[in-house]
Parts: sequence; C-alpha cells; structure tokens
Amino acid sequence: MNEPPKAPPRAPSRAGEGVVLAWASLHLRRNLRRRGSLAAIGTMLIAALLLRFVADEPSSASARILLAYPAPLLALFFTSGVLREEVEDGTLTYSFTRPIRRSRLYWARCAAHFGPLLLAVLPAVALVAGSFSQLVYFALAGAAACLAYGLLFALFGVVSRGAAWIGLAFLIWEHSALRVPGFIQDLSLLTYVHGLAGVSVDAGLLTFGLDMPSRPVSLAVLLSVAALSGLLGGRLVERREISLGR
Amino acid sequence: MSATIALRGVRKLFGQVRALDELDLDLDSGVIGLLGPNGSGKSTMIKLIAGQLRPDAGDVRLWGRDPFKSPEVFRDLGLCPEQDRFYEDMRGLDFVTALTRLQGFRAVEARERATRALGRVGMEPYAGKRMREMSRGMRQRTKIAQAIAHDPALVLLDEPLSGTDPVARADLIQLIRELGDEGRCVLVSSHVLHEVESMTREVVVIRHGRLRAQGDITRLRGLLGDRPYRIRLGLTSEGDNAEAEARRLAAALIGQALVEAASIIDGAAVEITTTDLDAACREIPKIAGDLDLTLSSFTSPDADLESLYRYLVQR
Repeated sequence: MNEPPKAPPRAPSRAGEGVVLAWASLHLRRNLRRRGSLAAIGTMLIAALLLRFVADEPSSASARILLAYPAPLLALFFTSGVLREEVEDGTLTYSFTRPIRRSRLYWARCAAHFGPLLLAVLPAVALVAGSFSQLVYFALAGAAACLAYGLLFALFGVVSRGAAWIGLAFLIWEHSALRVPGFIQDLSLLTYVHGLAGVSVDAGLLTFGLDMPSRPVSLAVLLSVAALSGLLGGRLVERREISLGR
Repeated sequence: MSATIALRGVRKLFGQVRALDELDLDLDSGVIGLLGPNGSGKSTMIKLIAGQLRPDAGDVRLWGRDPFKSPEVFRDLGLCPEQDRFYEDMRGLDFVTALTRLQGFRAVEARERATRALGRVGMEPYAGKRMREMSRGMRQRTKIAQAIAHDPALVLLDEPLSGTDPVARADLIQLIRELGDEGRCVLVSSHVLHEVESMTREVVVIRHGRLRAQGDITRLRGLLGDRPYRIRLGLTSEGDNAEAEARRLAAALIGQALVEAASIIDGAAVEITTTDLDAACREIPKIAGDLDLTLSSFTSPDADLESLYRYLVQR
C-alpha cells in the first residue's frame, strides 16, 4: 500500500517512564494483596524461623536450603505467568492497545511480580544470617537468584503455555547438574547462587570435585542470565502475536 | 480529524479455519456498523485493526501505519473489547484512570478524563463500585468509558450494547451517534440489526471472512437489482370500502410495467413487488391520485437493514 495516510495521528505519545512505573506499581499493589503472595511470604518466614531456632542449622546450611529449594520454586510460582495470567483473565487487551511498547509493559509486569517474590525471599535469608557480612551476601544472592530465575521463568511463560512444567523440569535439571562432576556443574544457576552467597553446594559425595565460582563471577553470570532473559522476553512480546482468546 | 482504516488483501487463519479472506476495506469518519453472523470474522477484524493480531497475508493500516508494530497509533484509538473481562478488584474510576494514564496523561488529568468519560456513559454515580460488584450493563458502560476517555479519533466497539438495559442502550446509542457527529470514526460490531440501524446508515457486511457489502443501507439495497423490492401501500378508507379500494388500486397497478406482482394484505392494504424503486415512488402516488384514492402509508419492508442483511448473508 503506497497511498499516503489521509489523516496522520497526532504527535506520537512517548509515554514516560513515570507511566510505566505507575502501571508496575498498580500491579505490585494488586499482587501484594493476593492470598498466594501473603501465604508465600508467611511460609518463607516460618521456614527461616524453623531453620534458625528449631533445627538449629548453621547459617550457611540454612541459607543453602532456602536459596536452593523455595526461592527458585517461588520464582517459578510468581513469574512464569507474568503475561499468561492476563491472557487468561482477558485483560491484556486493555494495556496492549495503548501507545506504549509491549516490551515495556512486559517489564513493568515482571517488576510487579518481583515485589512479593523479593518480600518472601529476602527477609527469610536475612533471618538465617549469622553475621552482618553474611546478611549482605545472602540478601545479594537472594535478590540475584530472584532476578535470574524470575526473568528466565517469565521468558518460559512468553514462549509456552506450559511454562510451569518447563520451569519444574529446569529446576530438576539444576539440582541434577550439581551432582555431575566437571563442567556440567557450571551450567547450573544454583552454582552461582551459592557462589555469591558464599555457601558450599550440597552435591553429596561429589562436593569435593566442585570449585566454587568467585562472587564477582557469580554475580556477573546471574545478572547476565537475567538481562538476556529479560531482553529476549521483551523482544518476543514485541514480535509475537499473543493469543488473546477468540 | 478523520481516521483512516485500510485493509488490503487481509487474510487471517486460525489453524485450518479462514477467519478473514482477501478482505479489502477503507473506512473513514462517522459511525459504521460492522455486521455479520456469528463466526463471520467481525471480532477478528477488530482485533487486527487494534493490533492484537497480525494478518497472515495482506496489510492492515491505521493512518498508513501498521498497528501491530506502531504503538503510537493507539494514542488515537479506543477499543471496547467484546469480552466481559476486567481487573475485578478495582473500582470503576480507578480502572478507567489507570488505563487513561497508560495513554501518557499525568495522574490528575487521567482522573479528570476518567471522571468525564464515566459521566458520559452515565456511570458517574457508580464510579466508586468495584468491577466485580457491577451489573453487566455497568461493566459494559465502564468498558466504553475506558475506550473514549483519551478522546480518540478512532473508536472500535465490539458488541458494545450487550448486557445493557433498554434505557442504557438508548443512551449508549445516542452517545455513539454523538461520537460519530464529532467527526470520529466509530466502528461498531453488532448482530442486533435494529440497534445498528438506529446508530447509522453506513454498514459493512462480512460473511465467511469476506466482504459482502459496504456503504449506505438504502444505496446498497438499490444496488442489489437482481431481487425485487416489496412496497406496502396503506389506504385512508376503512371497512368494506377499504377492501374495495385496495382491489381497485391493485388492479390498476398490476397493469403497470414496473409492477411485477400485487396482492391485498389484511383486506386494507396493497403490497406490490418491483425492481425499480425510484419509478415506483414516482408513479404509484400518481396512479392512486388518478383513482381518487388517498395513500396513508408507503413503506418498503425490504429497504430496512434486516432485510438487506438477510439477503446478503444468505446469498
């Protein structure tokens, strides 16, 4: 079609970051009011209290348990449906017909889902820390783990309706990889989460063969995975037709 | 400011199903009724125009831009989707304000616009209700409010009157007409024909994903020369005299070249069929006058939208 437009639209609106932040904030508040969020936050706090005061586990062991099991599972729970839940609720139409790039709306939704996730993970790992330096590293590892796993699972949600199952399979792979000696262990995000937290990896009898990555390397890997997943997710949301129901 | 929708050779497939097929269409300002039976492709067409779907072939353009790739066109587009879905925990005013904010307005202005839009659809007294507490009609009106709060040049309304009570329906029809009178392009999809007819004379009829007709209802009917019009003629006289006069008129008309058939209806009216509506409108009153008969009514049941629609979708 080569004919010129008969009536060009008004000056394109560049909705500012404030508008996107307001959208993220709106969904954050909605997410925080959900029973599932409150239950997750409460459960993590109880688990941390039990590990610290009842099981009397050392700080590093408690942090390792929290970072290896509930944190990735909660990331899967909170972020694999970042867009899917709006598709299923039929509400995505409202935001996707606004003068804002879809990728920015996607990132806003991701940010809104990180709120309850961070609120569940960070106080729990802080609670089991035995010293101030441990508190800082555990919190940093928790935040980086939430970011990396969260954006990865959100990407799974953009790619497939079965994101929860794909995510579960990925977590099984994560734990299996830790138990295989050699470079395979380096392919698990958990290796870097533990490396950043400064806790040993629970790899059973094969622990001896694992060289823990340094904190800067661990942080760089986790942030890279998060950035790549976020960018790829945004790009896919821009280019793919999201099925909104017929 | 006029809006322009242009579809060129648009095809959309859902698996093996062709929802739209080789659709060519240009739409400008005014209220346009989008008609077609269930499954004809109306909602798919609206989703393509709203940039929610991408065509498998062909082009969709709004003001010359692809809505799927150019979110800036949404500054001038308002969509009222068909499905009755909302952020159920939100209050009506907050819902419309939040979506108006996404248009790029500051919080205060978005709230003012949302309040005005809710007032325009008669929802101001209920703006503080949560969406899940609203009746279907209230929800429908709130959905329309979010589509018009940013003052768009193009408004897409997918079954906007469903679930509304008669009073609200009349108000919304009036609102839709006003939106058209303000120079906007308002595309209204509906399967309730008399409602569309009360909003506009301009229609687009699609069936099986293909364009069947586009334009003014009367003009379209006129173009369909291969099927005759029925014209019903009422007479002022009553009782036995009325039947006698009806017979006299029918006998006179049956001898005219433009009249293909004539019959007596309810003993007091004459119904003829003709393929030349203009000539019939000119000649029949003269013939009645020559017979000293006075016509009380002159109507064509085939000139209304329902007749046109039935003919187009069954053809």
